Parts: sequence; structure tokens; C-alpha cells
Amino acid sequence: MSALVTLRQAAASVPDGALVTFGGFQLNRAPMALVFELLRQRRRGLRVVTLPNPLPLDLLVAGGAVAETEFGFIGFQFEDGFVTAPHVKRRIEAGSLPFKERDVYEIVQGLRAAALGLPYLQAPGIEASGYMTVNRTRMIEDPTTGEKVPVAPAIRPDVALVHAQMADRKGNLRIDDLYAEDLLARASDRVIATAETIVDRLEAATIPHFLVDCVAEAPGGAFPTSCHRAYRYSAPHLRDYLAAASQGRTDEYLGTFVSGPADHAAFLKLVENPGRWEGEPRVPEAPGPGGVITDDEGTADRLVVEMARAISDGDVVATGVASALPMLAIALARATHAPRLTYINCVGAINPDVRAASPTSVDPRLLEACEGRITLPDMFDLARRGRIDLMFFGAAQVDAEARTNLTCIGEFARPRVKLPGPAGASSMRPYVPKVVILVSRHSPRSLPGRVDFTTTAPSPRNRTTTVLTDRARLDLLGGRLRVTSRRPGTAPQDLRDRTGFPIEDDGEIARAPTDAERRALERLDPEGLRHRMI
Amino acid sequence: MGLSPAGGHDAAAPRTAAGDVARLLACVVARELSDKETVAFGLHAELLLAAALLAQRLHAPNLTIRHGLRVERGHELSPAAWTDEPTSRSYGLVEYLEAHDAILDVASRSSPMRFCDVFFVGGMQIDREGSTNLIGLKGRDGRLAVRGPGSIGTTSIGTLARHVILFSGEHTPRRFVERVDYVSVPGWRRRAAAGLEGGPSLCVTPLAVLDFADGFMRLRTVHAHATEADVRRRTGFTLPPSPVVGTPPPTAVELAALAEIDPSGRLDGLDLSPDGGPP
Repeated sequence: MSALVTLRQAAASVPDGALVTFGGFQLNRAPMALVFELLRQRRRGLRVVTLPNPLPLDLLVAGGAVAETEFGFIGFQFEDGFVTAPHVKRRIEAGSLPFKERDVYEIVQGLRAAALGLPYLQAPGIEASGYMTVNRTRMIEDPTTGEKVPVAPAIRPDVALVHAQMADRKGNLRIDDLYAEDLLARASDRVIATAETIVDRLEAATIPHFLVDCVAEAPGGAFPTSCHRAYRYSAPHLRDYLAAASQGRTDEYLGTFVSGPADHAAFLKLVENPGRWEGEPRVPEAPGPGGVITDDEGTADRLVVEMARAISDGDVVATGVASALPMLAIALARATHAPRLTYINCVGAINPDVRAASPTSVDPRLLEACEGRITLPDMFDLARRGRIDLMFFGAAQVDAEARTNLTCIGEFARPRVKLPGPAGASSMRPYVPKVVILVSRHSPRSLPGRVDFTTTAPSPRNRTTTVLTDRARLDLLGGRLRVTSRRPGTAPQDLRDRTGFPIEDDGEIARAPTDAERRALERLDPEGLRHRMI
Repeated sequence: MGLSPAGGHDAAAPRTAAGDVARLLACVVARELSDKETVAFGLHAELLLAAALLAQRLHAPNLTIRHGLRVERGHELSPAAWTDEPTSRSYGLVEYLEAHDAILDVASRSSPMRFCDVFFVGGMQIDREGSTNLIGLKGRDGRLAVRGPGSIGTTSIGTLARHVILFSGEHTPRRFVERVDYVSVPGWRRRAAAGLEGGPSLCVTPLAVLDFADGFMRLRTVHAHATEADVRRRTGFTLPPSPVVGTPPPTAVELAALAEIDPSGRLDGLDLSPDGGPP
């Protein structure tokens, strides 16, 4: 029985109003050919629930195809730095896009519940986050302990759209960089797939045919996101897209690339050749306009060194999305004082061989040279079981009691500034013994007395909580952040002026990077990519 | 269960009486399978695999075969089909290998049954309402005397599958009992008590094919090598009177296809009792 259809037929089988979700992760292997085709067919009223996979959602929102959405993270990091999905951000700030935001773990548990045919699953860890209030998250009593545990209701998408490296005529899919597609396929009523190539018979299926409704051949079907082993994401095209969004030329972009070309193949002819897959770490491209940050004070070096020093030899260290700088710090620690650390990267790579700085930490090429593989949902389980010793977290705001905010400035429902969301930080932070929070600019805005929204909060399970800024190191001691060291040349009063909450301690002067650290950093990042990441 | 393969040799075995019964049963079972369905049974059920491959060849080309955790794509019985060793040889026959927890996919009435449409299940005991027992046998004192292998996943899958077929390699009073000592998969009456509709639809043995009327087993067809009296004598509960016909024998087409599926005569080596087993 052939499952083979055309791309047009595949997209046409998604009805208006369907609850859809997407395979892929960050800028990797999103089902973009299907997304563009849905826009060409003027699909309307879609309800989108998505893992940290910002581009399909943002394009569908830009094209007016989305009625409401549910996500855990809408940001990504690439050559030009960190970006929050521009159309989703703008519509939420305008109050014109109904949305629900939750920790990615809650979405994973909801999908797992659906895949197991259960009404809900517990999602512990988010108890102290502001999402409990805004989402009116329900709790259930654990019959074994009597404790209350937050609940994630089953999420059963009508359709999962997935792009695979290879498929056969029966509908078996082979995916070389599996993130959570196996879970999406089991949770969803239907799987609609595209593949770079179709073969008569697949030798080892990642997703079995009986879960797949139809598959269309779509070479370049993930463009402008990457398709591991076929092509990299297209930084130039992303740059064009983001420029159109920021300059109010979204209609022009849609006219040129969506309604203009007759199909995905015609679209690909319009854009430059999708960059070929490079097995080796790439030579960094020149940053686009606005991407240049001068760093003449060695701020990045100090931050990376301080992050590396937070790691002890033998630690199991994990990074999530948008963690290019922490990844460099982990490589530095491994090259200097912590050769026995274990690194878990959220693409699913255990101990990837990170030899050089990269503009993104979410790079499937890390799967090529690593000691083991997991999938995205596994990371949450590992953290909850206490198997991750140290994790790096980013934050737009950190307050006096070390709560962080990755959610919004202003009101949650109608924010002045929409931030990218928690990713997995709300649920994972409470289970990690060593928490390291990165704030690259030490200012009263980023270190206020109280965060606008509590995305993450400290937990008694955390042994240490450290905040690293460009000026100082603060540690959570006795329930409040205290300065433990400051950068040479930073006067105690200067630090007080730059902090939105009272500071009592002066802190000692931080140790300058050692010669060994400088040499290792130079070897890992000869191009100075780190200076553009802060 | 009396169905273990007799050694792993490839050489063609001589045609045996047991093999003839096995081929007949393979045909009986294959006729119950429809195109586009998914059929599931446990690992080491060689006869059921032969039946599924036969259905695939003859009338159900798009049948999906779940054999334990494997999704089969082999075209014949071979020793490699009976090992879970990750050798290239056995894995060449496997289209897809499930993780164990995928079986939990069956767990809700509200979700579509993804695991299978047709589920084959056996037991140490099977009773008149179609309940099975893989748990153990009670002694005279009413306590567990013989510990069985356990229900494995049969309780959940057998409860939720759309179509459950009972299969037994022997037809004896000890196997077919009035009331099972313990329940692995509930039959008609026990399902009704739990608020569930339906029950097993068929029971295939070396002597006969039985189905259910008003929730109780009755004779449907008797195989040519057995008699109705024989079947009734070897059944530990009373089968209601019903018109009984002979089981249609394998056709030439079916036998030719089975010869291709089983070139080395593995079905002839099955430990299957043509007479139903010890009385």
C-alpha cells in the first residue's frame, strides 16, 4: 500500500482549524515545505502546539493561518545572535494572538499522556513558577505521599507535520537527528510527512509506517532550517526574513516566497542554494548588520572563564537552547581543569566533541561525534532524577531572591515586551544541584528588586545558585543574592549603582583568566565568535 | 504452550501428522485476517507467524505483522525469526523494532487502538466464557500450586484489542476448564461485569474451531482428523448443542503458498498434538 502523495495533496489533507504540531527542533529539520504549502493553500484557523521550534509557528502566524497557539519557547540563536520569533512576539504584544505558554516539560508530559492513551500525566517542578497562576494549572494528590503535584492534561494533536531524511513508499521514515518525532507521531492522530528522498524500502525505520498517513518527496523540504547530513540552516535567508519582519515588509516576503512561487521547488530556485552540509565545524560568516558587538574590555573572555570555573571535574553538565556561550565554557573547562566532565547537549548528544566555538549550541552535527544519544524528552527525566549536576540558564531579569524571568516585561497576557519563554528552565532548575544563571549586562533593568514574572524560582534541592554578569559574580546565600566577586576595575559603588536591589557586600576581586585558560580559549575560538554572543 | 519449535535446524524435516495439523491451523487462522489490519501475537508463536505470512501472500498484502516487539517483513519462516539477538540476520527480517513501552499505546478506551486490530492469546487455562489464565493453577487447598509464566501484556492488549482470538496448541480438559483459576484476559461475562462490551470472538485448537454465542463457547467446525464426540470429551465444560460442520481443509493454493513460506519444514517439527494432547 503506497503512502506516497504529492506535497500539495499532503498539505491539502490538513483541514482548517486543525490542531497541528511540528517535528524538528530550533533551526533544524522543521517541515518548512509543508508550512509554505499550507500558506499557499491559504489554510486558516490552525491551532498550533509546538516544541521549541519557532520558525514554522512564526511563518504561519505571519501568513494569518493561526487562530491560537501553545508553546514553551519561541526563540533561537544563530550567527546574528539571539532572536525571538518576530511575528509571534509582535502579535502577542499587540494582544491579537491567543496563546498559552508553559514549560516545555509540561508539553512533553501532555504529549506523552496522549501517546500512552492516558488523560494526563504529572509534571512536577513548576510549582513555584508564575505559570501555575496564569495557566491555572491543576494539581493532583500523589496517593503515595499525599503531596500535590501539577498535572499536564493530554495533548493530542490532529496532525504532526514531520520532515525526514528518508522515507519509503509504505511510509516508514528514517530520521538521523531524532528530537521528539517518535513522541509526536504516537501522540498525534495523524502524521503527515515529507522526506528529502523516497526509496523503495527502508532498512531501519525511525518512525514506522503504521503511524504515518502519507509522505511526499520534498528535497530541500526543511529549508531555510537545516536537514542534518543534507544541508545547514540558511543564515542569509533567515536574515532576509527577520529584516522583512523588523522593517514591516512581511507582506513583501510572503508575496515573494509564498504566493509567488508555484511550489516548494520553485521557491528553492528563488533563494540561494541551501548551504551544503559540512561535516566539520564551519568557518563563521561575517555578522549581518546589527550583529556586531564590540567587546574591547574582554567581557566575553571573563564570562566564559567564570562559567568554566563553576564546573567541577566529573560534573554532569547540560545545556539547553541558545547556549552557545555556555557550550564554549564547557569546552574550556574540559580543556583545562575538568577533563572528566560529562556534557549533555539538548540536541541529544552525550559528550559531543566540541572543538570550536559555534554560533549555535543546537547543532545536529554534534550527534556525529559523541559518546551516546538521547532525545529531547529524556533530558527532563535525567534532570528530575538528579542525574544532571550543573545547568546553565539564561535570564532577561534576575531579582534579589534569584527568581528569573524569561517570560515577559509588563503583564503576562498583554506584555510590553514578549520574551522567548522558559524552554525547560521552570521545570529543570528545581532539580539541578548547581544552578548557574547568566546575565550578560549588569544593570538595574536586568537585576531588579522583583522580576516582572517568575519564570523560575530557587528550590531547596539546589545546592548552589550563582549569577554571573559582565561585572560580578553573585551567589544565593541565606535566600538573597550577595556579591561574591567583582571584576577588576569595578568599584563597589559602581556595582551598587548598576544593581536594582540593595547590595551589602563588596566581594573580592575576581581572579584574572590564567595563561592556560587564555591559551585554551584562543585555541577553541580563534575567530572570536564569543565576543558576538554577549 | 506446546508450540515451541523443535530445534533450530534448517534441513527439510519429513512431513508429519503434526505438520499437517499445523498447516490446517495456519490456514484457519489466515482466513480470519483481513487486508490493512494489524495482527499481533507473542514471540515464538511460529504457527501464527506462518498464518500471518500466508494471509499476506494470499488476500491481505497490507497486513502489518507484530511478532512480539518486532514488525515483521520476512517472507518465510527461518530460524532467525525466532531470536531476539541483534544479529544482522534476524534484523534483516524486521521492519521496525518497538520499544517495550510502545505496548502501553493500548492503554485507553478513549484513544484509538494503535497497537493492533487482531490479537492472539493463549493460556494455561481457557474457560467457557473465554477468559484466559497465564498466572497459575490452584491446588486442592485453593492456594497457588503451580506458578505460570505470567500475563505479560495480554491483560491490557487482550482487554482493549478490537478482535481477540484464542489459540491453543492442545485441546484437553486441563486446558479447557469451566472456570479459570486466575484471570489474565477477561472473557465475556467478566468483561460485562467491568462495563466492557464484547469478548473473544474465536478459539482455534488442534481439533476444532469454536466461537461464542451469548458469551459462551460453542463448536463451530471440527477438523477432519477429529470427531465431534472427541472434542466434547476433551472439553472440560459442556458445549451447547449446535450444528457442527467440518473445517474446510487447506486448498491447493494455500498449501502451495505454505510450502514457499516454510521451505525447510519447520511446521512439521512443531510440538503440536494432532490428537489434542493427553486426555
